[in-house]
Amino acid sequence: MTNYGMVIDQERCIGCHSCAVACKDENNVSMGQAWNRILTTGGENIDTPAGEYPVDGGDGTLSMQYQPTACQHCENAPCVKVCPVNATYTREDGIVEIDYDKCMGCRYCMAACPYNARVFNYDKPETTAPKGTGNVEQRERGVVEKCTFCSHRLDEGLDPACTIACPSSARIFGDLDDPDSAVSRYVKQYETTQLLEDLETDPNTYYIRGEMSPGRNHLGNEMESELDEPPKRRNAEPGVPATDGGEEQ
Amino acid sequence: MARRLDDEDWEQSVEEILDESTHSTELGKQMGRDAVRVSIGEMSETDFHKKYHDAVLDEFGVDDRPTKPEEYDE
Repeated sequence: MTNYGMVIDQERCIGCHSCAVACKDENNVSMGQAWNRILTTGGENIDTPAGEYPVDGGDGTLSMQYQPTACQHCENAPCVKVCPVNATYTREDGIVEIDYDKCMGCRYCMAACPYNARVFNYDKPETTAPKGTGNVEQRERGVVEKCTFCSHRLDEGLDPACTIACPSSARIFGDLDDPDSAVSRYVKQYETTQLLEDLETDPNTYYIRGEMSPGRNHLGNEMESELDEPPKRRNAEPGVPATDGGEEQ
Repeated sequence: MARRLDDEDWEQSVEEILDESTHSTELGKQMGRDAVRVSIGEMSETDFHKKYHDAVLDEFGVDDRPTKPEEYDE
């Protein structure tokens, strides 16, 4: 069975917000809302570093790290448990999704989500990407929305928009139930964490910190499972074996 | 208990979200916290469902939460 998940390599993330912009464009997210946010850890505000520059007496401790955050697609999701009309539910492939026809906008799921990943739709989305798959239907005003792992793209064999938009290949998407997929290998091979692990929500989103991974292992829109084996990294030359993330530890 | 459940910032944020809704802020706040307690394992899904069943029916006129136990008698 398929169990979709994502690995985000925070050592590769450069905080450019390309994923957030691609998400808004792809999913027709209304103005002022974001399903995918790039938070900053360390400083007091977004895109604000902590520490001091090594000039004018500063101690050179300047640092800034990014925390990309969206729906974590928890296997044990509190948001699913509170919905009075069962509008938010977990699909068989692990994606937590919302039936916008059922949602009545009570926002109890927003209260239950520990990741603040859901937004309330005050305005009806009106923009649609002119080309490609950015044809997500408008949602009626007054529903709760969130990341769907771009399930409409997955249906077409394409990776989520955030994943292909990332210029540093920091997002890797695939089937966690497939032990040979990049997401499964990276979760096993690298030091990964899930957000707020003490709440035992068991997110399908993992974060790599410490050692940098090879990142997404191919170019193009296609999901890894749609490619010929093995997937080719952008730096692979003809006849050179594809990079697969190195030896297992 | 996870410290997160006692986080004042989270509670304030939740209140701000729910205050803009036409539905009960207090019920949403309590259910949200207890849903996390269910995830942690401090409360069973059955207990969670029973605890809020009447209140959910009063508030929404329906209770289609997926936590409904099979043996639960409406």
